[in-house]
Amino acid sequence: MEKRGVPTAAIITHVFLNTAQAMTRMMGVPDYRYIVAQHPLSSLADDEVKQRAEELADEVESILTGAPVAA
Amino acid sequence: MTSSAERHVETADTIEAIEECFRMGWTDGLPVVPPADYKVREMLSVAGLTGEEELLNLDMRSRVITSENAAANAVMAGCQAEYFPVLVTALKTLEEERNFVNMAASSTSSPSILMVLNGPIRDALGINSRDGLFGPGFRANARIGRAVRLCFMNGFDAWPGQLDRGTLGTPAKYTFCIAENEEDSPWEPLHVSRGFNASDSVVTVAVAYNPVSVPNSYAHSGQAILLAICDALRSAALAHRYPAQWVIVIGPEHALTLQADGWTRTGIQEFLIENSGRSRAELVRLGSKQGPERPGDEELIMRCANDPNDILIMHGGGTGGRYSAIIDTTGFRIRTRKIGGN
Repeated sequence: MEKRGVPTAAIITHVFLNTAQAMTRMMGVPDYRYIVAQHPLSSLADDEVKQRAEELADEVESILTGAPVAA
Repeated sequence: MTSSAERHVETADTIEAIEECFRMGWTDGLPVVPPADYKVREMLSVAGLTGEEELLNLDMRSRVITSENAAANAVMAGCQAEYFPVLVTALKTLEEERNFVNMAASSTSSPSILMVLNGPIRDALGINSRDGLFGPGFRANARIGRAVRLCFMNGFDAWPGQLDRGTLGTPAKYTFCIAENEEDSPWEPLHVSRGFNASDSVVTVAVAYNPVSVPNSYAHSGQAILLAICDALRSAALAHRYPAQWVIVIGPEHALTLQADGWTRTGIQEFLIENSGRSRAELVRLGSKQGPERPGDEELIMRCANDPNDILIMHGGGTGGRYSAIIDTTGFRIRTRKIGGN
């Protein structure tokens, strides 16, 4: 999507870090920025997912806009 | 894009060459046949290919499996040259739904690639459809399926714990290639039911999980056999996929009972849908479907498939036991293609 000009923020969980690194190397973009969230996500309750999303929102915005993360 | 740089290994000793293939990281853990260039050319020649053709392009990994890549992996898997057109057709078929191919090379749920052969090619290549259907002992079954996995590992870097994040993996990733026993089947062959001529040699391809064996040894009616299959389908192990596509392998002894009781393919398909219902609420409580429970979920009955044609019925396995098997497929549309066709 990024290559098609759509600003994209990818989120992985920390157990997939080695896979994300292998993938970005393979795609020829080893410096591609993504967000690393704590695993797991799929077993969280709705309110926990919302809380997690709020915690990550600034970083998502930063990746999408290229601006530094607000302090 | 290329799946790998060309690499050459030279050694005069065959055993040493096999070990070198392992050291190069080209194997599934078992010994491979070293991919000598003349064997790769022989493979390509039988399929009428140059080595340049792109068979399967996985955008998500910036990788392409060319006919030469496929041939090298087929040699390593131990394929006879005449097996190669099956592999080529299977890879071309997978190209039609690449996102699901990615599942068989990465998903935590650990699917493999199922191939079911129909038509004259079964006998020509010696693909087993009878005793020990999913097991070892048959060269074509063992090696054609293995070639697909080697293509994924070497072509798409589908190494466990790295890009292949299959949590439990599956023995079906070593090989998952079978044929239908058409001759003893009460029903028309699978490929005929899917619009091909009986004389066509075809391969049916699915991104699929390991077969789940369903015994029914003591209740000697067709309906009881089908109810046992439904009971397995309704389990947490399988119902999380509802609604989906399935391959149901009816074993010969079950097939005889079903035949005696007058069950048609369509009748079986409709019965399985009708009797596989499970409420969404139950599936949420089992963690099979994502919650939370919503009003009406107790009454919302989910079924194994939406359409009878989403249940592929085939006949295979040995005599002596009363077993059938359910194969759970992913969201990949099961596809059937004539071997050697475009």
